[in-house]
Amino acid sequence: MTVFVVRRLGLLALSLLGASILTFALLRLLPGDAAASVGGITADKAQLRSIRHDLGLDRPLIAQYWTWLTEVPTGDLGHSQLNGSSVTGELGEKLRVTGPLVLGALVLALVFAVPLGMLAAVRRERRDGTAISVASQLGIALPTLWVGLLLILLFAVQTPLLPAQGFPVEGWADPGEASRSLVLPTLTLALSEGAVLLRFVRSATLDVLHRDYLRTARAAGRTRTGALLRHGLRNAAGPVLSMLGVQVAALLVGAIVVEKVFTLPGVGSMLVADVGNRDLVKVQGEVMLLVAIVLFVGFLVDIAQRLIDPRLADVRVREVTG
Amino acid sequence: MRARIAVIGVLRALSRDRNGLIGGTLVAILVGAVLLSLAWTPYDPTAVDPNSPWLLPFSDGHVLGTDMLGRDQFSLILVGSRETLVIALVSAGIAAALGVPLALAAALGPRRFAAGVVQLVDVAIAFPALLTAMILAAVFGGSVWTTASAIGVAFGVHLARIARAEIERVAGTDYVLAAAASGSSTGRTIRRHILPNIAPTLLVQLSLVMAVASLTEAALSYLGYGSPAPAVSWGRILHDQQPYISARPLLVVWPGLAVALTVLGFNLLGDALRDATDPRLRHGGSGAVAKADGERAVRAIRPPAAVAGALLEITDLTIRIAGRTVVDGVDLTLAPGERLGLIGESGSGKSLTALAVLGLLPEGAEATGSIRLDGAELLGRSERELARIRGDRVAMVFQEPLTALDPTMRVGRQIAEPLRLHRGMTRRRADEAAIELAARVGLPDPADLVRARPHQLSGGQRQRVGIAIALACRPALLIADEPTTALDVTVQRDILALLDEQAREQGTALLFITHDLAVVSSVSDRVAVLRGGRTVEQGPLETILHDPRAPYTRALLAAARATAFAPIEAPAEIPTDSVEAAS
Repeated sequence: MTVFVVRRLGLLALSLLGASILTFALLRLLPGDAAASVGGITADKAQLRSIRHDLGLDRPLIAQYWTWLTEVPTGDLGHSQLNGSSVTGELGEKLRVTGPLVLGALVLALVFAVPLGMLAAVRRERRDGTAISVASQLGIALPTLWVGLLLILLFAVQTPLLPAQGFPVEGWADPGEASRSLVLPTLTLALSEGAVLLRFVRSATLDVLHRDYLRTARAAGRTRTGALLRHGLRNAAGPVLSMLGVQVAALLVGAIVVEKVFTLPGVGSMLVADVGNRDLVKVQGEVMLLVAIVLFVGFLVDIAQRLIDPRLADVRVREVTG
Repeated sequence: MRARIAVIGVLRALSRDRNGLIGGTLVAILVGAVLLSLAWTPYDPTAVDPNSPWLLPFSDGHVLGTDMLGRDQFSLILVGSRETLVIALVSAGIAAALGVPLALAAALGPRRFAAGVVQLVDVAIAFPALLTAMILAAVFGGSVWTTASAIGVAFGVHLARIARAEIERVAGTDYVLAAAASGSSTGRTIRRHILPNIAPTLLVQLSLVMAVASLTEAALSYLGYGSPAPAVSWGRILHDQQPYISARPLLVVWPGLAVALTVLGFNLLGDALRDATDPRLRHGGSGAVAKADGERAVRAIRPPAAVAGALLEITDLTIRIAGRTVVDGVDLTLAPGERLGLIGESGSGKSLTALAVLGLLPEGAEATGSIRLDGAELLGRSERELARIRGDRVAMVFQEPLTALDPTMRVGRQIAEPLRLHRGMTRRRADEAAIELAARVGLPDPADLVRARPHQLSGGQRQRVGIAIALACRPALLIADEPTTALDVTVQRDILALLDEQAREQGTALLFITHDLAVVSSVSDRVAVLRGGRTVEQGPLETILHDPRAPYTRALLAAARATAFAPIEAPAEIPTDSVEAAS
């Protein structure tokens, strides 16, 4: 297990390195001169040159990449090219919105998708199972942003229960108000991702439903449901977990859209704004953060899978004849 | 050629499937809308008309009304379909163009390359299509190409992984190996044998790519990174209408509905394609012809007079699956401690008979007649009531030791399960008892072995674990369903000896199911012969072996002797209805 973790950590580092090169290279494609946008149209050539020098833009690309790369592990993602603010500091602040949003949506999605997905698989021949499947199929088809708009329409416009948009300026100073403004966004994200998750759970459950070991467990005295909960769940968990990396990526992308729909000051809105402003250093930091989160979740998922299914881990097969 | 035949078959299957019908219709509507929009729209979709803003649906010929600029919403949505369809198609095209060669190279190329592709996919997941598309749009300006290439690349890599697995499966099949062996070049093998066979899977994946592409396009345009005006996109209509959501809620409903129905169409089509191409689902039992009850042969076997104190009494057990009768009036009786061999060829209904006793029949199977245990009727009891009997009074050992155990759970825990369920033992007590049981069924190093997981054991050891689970609560009846068939010949004998010894020791009645006469003769006192779901003959072991009445039993014996000494002779054709009575 230790060997596996170490090896997997190495792979994670390699992936992160690859991702950092990709991110850096992708963003160098951006046309436009950051110095020009900083200096404004009145800046003369000498001023532009000095701005470029201050931003380090006159150094070779490799050197720029190296500086960035060596600073990232220390938690320093550089400074905005437009106003000099610390990228790490701003990300930390924005994560106070995006973090609860994404985590809340993930938990909510799991809470309704896992039991409903199993139910849809077990009762697929009956009306309720079919209804769940159809509902999830519809849920997948609805664009996240439209779900957001419909929820605003229902719970903020028609019956003004919750705020339609925005987040308190004071942030979490008033936790009640802040939470209220996250209810609809979290629900939006959870519904969209939950529908996808439900399909995964359903197909993973269908896959274990006819396995012999469930019959063995029933023959030993479990009920159909009991066998499924005790043996089916842990065996279906592997395939569902393996999709979790993709799911987290989808949640983060969903958050970009949801934050825009609900005008939340989160990482997603920040990213959209910075791409628009061509603020290279910030976009670089933001993309790297999102990518690192997804890669790290993938790492955790792999470890969790080894723990659940020891067949993946065991190379030493006991060779004793029976 | 082959690809076209495969596609036609798939299309035919689709039209019969409800999902396929709905999905196909929705996609057809999308295509229709695009074609229509090219020829005609009710109004100029981009024409601003300051005289007619905020018109309600159906006013003045505006079917869906107009927005704040007086633009006809129906025309806008009609034209918006172009962007969606074009991006869906181009994305799918890019995904296929990238994914298929990558998959071929990974599957047929060097190992190293395959590992690289897997790694690439993992990194690629971390760059979601929307994110890449945003950056590309910022660089090159938003267009069909920036959106479609971001989506196409993201899912092309994903497609490569799925296609690789599929290619490896196909490449390992006999006919591809045969083609290679007969000198077919790699290129020809790919063209003639591999691509046609992975085509269905590709179609499924590509329709799903189109669904995701439609969703991504909407989100991207909504965020302002889609194709710029004059291109019309459903996502951007949503963006434009959002500020007026409280005044004109319907204006955000139509474009969203358009996206949703499109995505639903592609997804349903994908699902239907998958079902149509999945061989496991293709041969459903629904096509089976129900056997008319009228042609049921005259049953020669009288139900044996109810034996006083019988442990198990099966009378007139009939099992139907999907309208087909698979067990047809079976009668069996078992006294306490008696050992009954149930013999028959595969499909004779012997396993189903056994499963019926435990209430473990597959879903959709219907049993009628009577199964009495200790005089109490089992048929029709609830799952909960049956579960209380299973593993306690009646236990079962299955044929496949390789799949019968939970791969994720330590074997000790699995042996302990019936004890915890029926004896209410604590985990610790049950774990200790599991070690004793493991020792009793002859597992080596039981204290260590209970901590192992099934895959660490040999087939014979796993079957011993299965027997330990079954014997844990000292059942009155043990049903063994071909417990040695999947094992090596040398191991078979040990397992038989173990079952025999344990059954005698505990006074457990044994219902032993097998197709092998030699096995039956070593573990039974009495034998029942099943054929085509009916009891052909039933009697003491000696009688059946030396004085069989039914022609089928005689043929069975003859075949068994023939295989022992000589090449197999085809047994004479035995008409099913010439069943004879046996005592």
